[in-house]
Amino acid sequence: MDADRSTVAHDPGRLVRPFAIGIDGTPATAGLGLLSRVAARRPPGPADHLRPERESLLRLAAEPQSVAELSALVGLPLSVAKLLIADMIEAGDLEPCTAEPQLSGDDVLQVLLDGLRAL
Amino acid sequence: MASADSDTTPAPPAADPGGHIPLAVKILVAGGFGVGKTTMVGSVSEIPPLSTEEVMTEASMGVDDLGGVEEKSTTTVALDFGRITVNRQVVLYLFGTPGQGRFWFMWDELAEGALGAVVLADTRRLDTCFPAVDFFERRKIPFVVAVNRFDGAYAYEPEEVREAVDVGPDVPIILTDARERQESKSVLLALVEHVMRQRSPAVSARPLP
Repeated sequence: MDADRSTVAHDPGRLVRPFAIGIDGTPATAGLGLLSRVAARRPPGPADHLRPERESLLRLAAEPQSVAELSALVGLPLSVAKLLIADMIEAGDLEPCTAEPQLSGDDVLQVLLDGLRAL
Repeated sequence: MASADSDTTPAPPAADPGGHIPLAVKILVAGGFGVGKTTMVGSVSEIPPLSTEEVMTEASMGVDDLGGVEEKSTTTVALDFGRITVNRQVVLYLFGTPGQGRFWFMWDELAEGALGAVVLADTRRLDTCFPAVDFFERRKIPFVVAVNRFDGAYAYEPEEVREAVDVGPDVPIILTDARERQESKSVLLALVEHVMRQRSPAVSARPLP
């Protein structure tokens, strides 16, 4: 169940876990926002077992997934998740996805309005 | 995706047959501590609200204004969000914004590219929504004020709330129950309509009273 996740906001809080995730150099996270979407370019392989966070990200991003969701699902603070994702993009394991701009600004609002009304 | 793995993910919005992924649109839900932001996100989200976190420095510890709401001390700031797949073209993300003004560093990133915001207010502690109102006014981000009706709170009229919060006549004030999906949906609709009115040239060209 996801009960644990949905009650996190009411949780009295916890201490920050000590992190030790190896990242070569300092990947550029500047282009990554909360809603940037990335997709895995390959499925996780046997060599990824020793790097569980990367293995999870490869699996979670089998379909394009947002940075915010990946951060939440893999259980890493946003800034850490972004570093890791940027590192994996540089390594060619993940690729950024962009939505085709099929809609202009006003069209987006109308689509949103109609869609919400229909829910 | 049928694995029994503990981090099985809710399916992301599917790419359409052409391989396009939907445009991601962001709406913020802001307001003071314990005003019902996560409740509102959860009531309209198609996935159970997710929570990510950002590490908080020690410098900001011990200055939470809890106002007797609850015992809360933490070394991380949680960011709760939900998702609504509107259709194949647009997916809407709702972010519950950390209520305290000292989280400006997160507000900036959250506000970047946001369509608009819902400021949730509790009439028993109206002042807790002032930082959010100030922030969105300063950034010229369109917002509506949604008054979450708590049991036992005096039922103020929208105009009384407007006067107390000191927002202009064009800002919609809506009475709501953040637990109810339909009511939360109405608040989002009111916000989208408000954004549309603001962007319409006929409205912005209107002379000021």
